[in-house]
Amino acid sequence: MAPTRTDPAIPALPETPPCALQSLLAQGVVWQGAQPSDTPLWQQRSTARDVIPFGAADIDECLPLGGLACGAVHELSMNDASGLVTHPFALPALLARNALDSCEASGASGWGRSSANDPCALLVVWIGRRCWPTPFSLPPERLSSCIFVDPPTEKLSLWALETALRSPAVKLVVADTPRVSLATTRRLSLSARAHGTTALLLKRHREQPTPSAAMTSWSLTPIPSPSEAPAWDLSLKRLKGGSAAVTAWTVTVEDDYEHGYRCGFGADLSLRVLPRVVSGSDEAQAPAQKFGT
Amino acid sequence: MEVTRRKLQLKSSARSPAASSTSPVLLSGTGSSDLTVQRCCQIAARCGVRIGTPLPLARAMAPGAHVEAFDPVRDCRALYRLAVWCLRFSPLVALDSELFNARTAGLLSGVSPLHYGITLDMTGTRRLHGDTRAFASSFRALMSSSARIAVAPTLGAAWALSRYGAPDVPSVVSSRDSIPQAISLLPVQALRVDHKCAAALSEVGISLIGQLLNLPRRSLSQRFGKFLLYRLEQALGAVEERLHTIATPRSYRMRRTFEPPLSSRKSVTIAIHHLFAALLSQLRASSKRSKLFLLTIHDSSGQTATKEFPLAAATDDISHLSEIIEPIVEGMSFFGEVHDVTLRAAQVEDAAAEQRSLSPSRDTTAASRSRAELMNAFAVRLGKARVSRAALTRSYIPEQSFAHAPAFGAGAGPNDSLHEPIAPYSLRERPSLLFAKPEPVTTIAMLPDKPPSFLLWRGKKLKIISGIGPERIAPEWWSAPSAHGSQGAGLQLRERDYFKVQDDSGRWLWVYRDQGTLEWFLHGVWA
Repeated sequence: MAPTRTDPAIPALPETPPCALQSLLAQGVVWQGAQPSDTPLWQQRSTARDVIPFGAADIDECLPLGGLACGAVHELSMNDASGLVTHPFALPALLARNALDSCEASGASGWGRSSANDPCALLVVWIGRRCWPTPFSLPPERLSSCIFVDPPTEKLSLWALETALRSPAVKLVVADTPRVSLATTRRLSLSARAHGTTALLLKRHREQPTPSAAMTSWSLTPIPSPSEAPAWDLSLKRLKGGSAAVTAWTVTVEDDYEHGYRCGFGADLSLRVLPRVVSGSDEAQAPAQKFGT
Repeated sequence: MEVTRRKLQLKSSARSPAASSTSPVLLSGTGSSDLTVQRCCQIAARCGVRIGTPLPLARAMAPGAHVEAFDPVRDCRALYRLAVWCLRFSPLVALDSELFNARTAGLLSGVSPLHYGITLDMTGTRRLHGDTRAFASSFRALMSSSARIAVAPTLGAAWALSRYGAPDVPSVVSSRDSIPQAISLLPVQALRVDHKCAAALSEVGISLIGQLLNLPRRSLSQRFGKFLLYRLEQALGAVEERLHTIATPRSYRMRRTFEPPLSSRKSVTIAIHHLFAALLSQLRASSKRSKLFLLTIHDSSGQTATKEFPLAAATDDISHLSEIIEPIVEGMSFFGEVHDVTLRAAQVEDAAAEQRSLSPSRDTTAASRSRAELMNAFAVRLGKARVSRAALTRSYIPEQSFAHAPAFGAGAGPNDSLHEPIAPYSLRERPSLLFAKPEPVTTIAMLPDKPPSFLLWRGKKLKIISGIGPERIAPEWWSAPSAHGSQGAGLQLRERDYFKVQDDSGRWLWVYRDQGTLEWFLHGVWA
């Protein structure tokens, strides 16, 4: 295989000699993520190493691609012990902001800066009223790129999710999917990979993680915050076909007043990693278990 | 060779949609200054009510009168619909030229009721309708005997006879030679001359058209202007007159009848697909597009299944459309065998030509098309109300500072969103999760004007360890209190004192106390 085409899902493993990796690939023990294709380079959105960064260097540098890989399905669950808040809100809003920013910065819509009114601008689709973020937690100039869908049934919700994933006009789909089966996530992954779109599934937290074909799986646990801003333990439960050096962080969102007063705080949000308080559970620091499919 | 034109002039003066046929109906002006009668029915007219009578006087003259607001635009629209209906009797149907011009200029309120009429060109329809007089009578019966109908070879004569002729019997003039005799006993106003001209004529003792006809034409035009002569010659047929005909609204529909009826659902799906393809090519041939398709399926049990396909953006791409419609047709309920499928395109609009871009990376056409296709899919399957966009609004009230509006339609543009500061707040001040409706909580507050120390929310007891506040948010005095009053949410908007409190699990909550009722509500969570 060509040496330049490395798989996005497999990070560089310094302790493994390259020949061993080659043999593993040949045996099919480790799956190749991206398939070589004949499509021209500018149309390969999925293989263009697009990522949605968290915006915090401590997290992004630990991930193989420097963020959530585009063209894949990711999961995020809220582990609220009291069960009062079932969905995360600030983190998806921040990721949606980053997704829209990154596709503008990478020039996905062509020459020059694209304005928000540009019909070329990619969309973020929110599926399920329960996961709709409060509009002022999104940047006001990005609100026109957000579409809020409220399907009446779970079946239609999945249909909308897949339809959105198949549309070339969509960058990120955030969906409230309390229950998805392994087969469903696999089908969604195929759609996402084929069309270069990204799905963020907001799942219900479970002690035993349900089988899933998602590329990454994250969990958020609210913790007492030292400041006025909310803080969470963010942990990477699974990274398909790879490993991360660190899998747990303590994060807080903050916004700086330096930009001046704004209508809403969506544009100023940033994720900050706090020094981690290890509370007796050292195994959280261990590298994530490597999953071959 | 001269073509004889026979025109049937119709004046519809029936207008009583709401009231019964026995009580008088008055239409009055809507302004406070002109409370006068603008139109009245025949019963009221028999009581002595005239146009311009003050409304209180008219109420006294016609007791029990049903009064409605006078809306000339609606009247004109109704008359237009009647004219469209009349297209089944003649291919050329026109509105009164005075009314037509006023409608074009938007000055409908000044038009005299005499000009609310429809003209039908009856040329060459004798084979269809037979005897003209019999047809006029049956037409009058169709109009429930409230219309005044006249048939004449010229438009001017028909106009005069229908307005000023015998009210109960259709007056029919069969040949051009008998026009002078037929109109000679009508007043000069029947010639469609203005008040000034009619007054000048009455000054010299001329009140009937017959008197005019006896005068020499040359002196007539010198003394009373060319217009009178022009109208006279129009009535007699020496001067041509133009008809403002209405155009047939073209309908785009496809219908397929199956003999024998289709029994398998798959063949119905294929038939619908073919119908869509045929209708789209018909639309494309006339460079139109449709945003709403209506599908009707008749099955052999007599049931009718109807489905609307409301599109977000008009399209003529059959592959995209069939992708959308297929799951819908699968889900439609029809039983037995299908023997008739009808597809109609509503909301037809002109298709604009598309300019394609040379650059593959910046192909705006492709990008906007793929966006439109996504919205179409959502609109058809989920309904337009379930797809929305959000915009920030000019309000400091937290739950009113944004609005979710349907993503389709005129107001859904990105121009609505605010970019300048209206509510300067940060994540420290506003939660990331705001409940659409504040949830009532039970609290224990040690001190007034201090955050509570215990919260009971959704059956769980939360101990509060710290709190920040209060921040007072008052209702906006400049907006009317009825606008967000007790209707709808049942939540009277009063002054609120907001506190940001942290419970013992570390979660930050946004609670407020209604200053009117002193009840506590939870309005948001930093989640």
